[in-house]
Amino acid sequence: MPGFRVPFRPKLSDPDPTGPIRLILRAAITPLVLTQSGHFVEFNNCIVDSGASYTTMSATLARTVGIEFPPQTSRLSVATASSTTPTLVHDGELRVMLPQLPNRIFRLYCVFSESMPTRTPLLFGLNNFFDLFRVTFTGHHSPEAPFGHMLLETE
Amino acid sequence: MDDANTLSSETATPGTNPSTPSESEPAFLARARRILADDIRPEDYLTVTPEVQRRVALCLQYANARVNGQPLAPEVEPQQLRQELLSFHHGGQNIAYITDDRGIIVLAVGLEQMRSILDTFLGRISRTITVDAPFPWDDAGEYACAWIPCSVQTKAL
Repeated sequence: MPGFRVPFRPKLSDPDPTGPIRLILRAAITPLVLTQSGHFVEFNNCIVDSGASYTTMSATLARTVGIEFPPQTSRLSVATASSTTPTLVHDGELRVMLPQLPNRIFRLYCVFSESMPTRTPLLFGLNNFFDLFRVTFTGHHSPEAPFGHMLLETE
Repeated sequence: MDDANTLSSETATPGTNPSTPSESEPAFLARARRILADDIRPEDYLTVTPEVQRRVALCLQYANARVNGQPLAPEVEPQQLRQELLSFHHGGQNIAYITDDRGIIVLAVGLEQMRSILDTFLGRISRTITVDAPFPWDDAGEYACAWIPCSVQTKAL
């Protein structure tokens, strides 16, 4: 089963001078995403998010980059830490390629959200990223991944 | 923080363009055209500031402690430097950039510039264009998940 390891990306921040320095870890990948022009754009810091039900992308960001999706909309409840909000979405798909698995294009069901901020990263959620990839998260540290890593495996 | 560094006004250099410029081309587009024609200047790269150096050193110090004295893999430091550079200069902004072995060159800041850069150059150049919204430099972190709008939207950038 082809697979590869991706180190967790650490970010230290000091948001409160009276508090501790925070270590933020991201389980992120950098896929190439196919645009409607037939060319790929690389997306940095896309989060593999087992807490997200769907692979989700800002509709505004998708339009900016040139990723096509159907004009039809529907409503979907989006849960955040503080509330559940109905939001307008388009159901579409992404075609992505991972640099670690060149020449393979993966089709992913994707929800394009009209209310997702453009600065929010592309999220790879349970439906259907995890149909294509078996993902193992581990905090075990190594010289290549001192903060842990995720292992992505596919058929 | 230093948009002027990457988006300063300039005159396009005739004869070095990967495609034909239009008249009255915006400065960022003329700059990108020059860069993508391989006329790259040292000042085009994001600057490694003392703040960035300190943050990278701190992170590596923590990483070294985690691996119990084993030497870190050679790719760890440059990866961390790239992340801190993007975060320091353009944290919380939508950007498009290219990279090479000398550093990162930001071509567009904001959605309008991103759209122009991609419309103009995508498919006409051999380099990969990367889009990103780097993590804000000193944001408090992702409490629950990235879906929560980051607090940078209420800060002056």
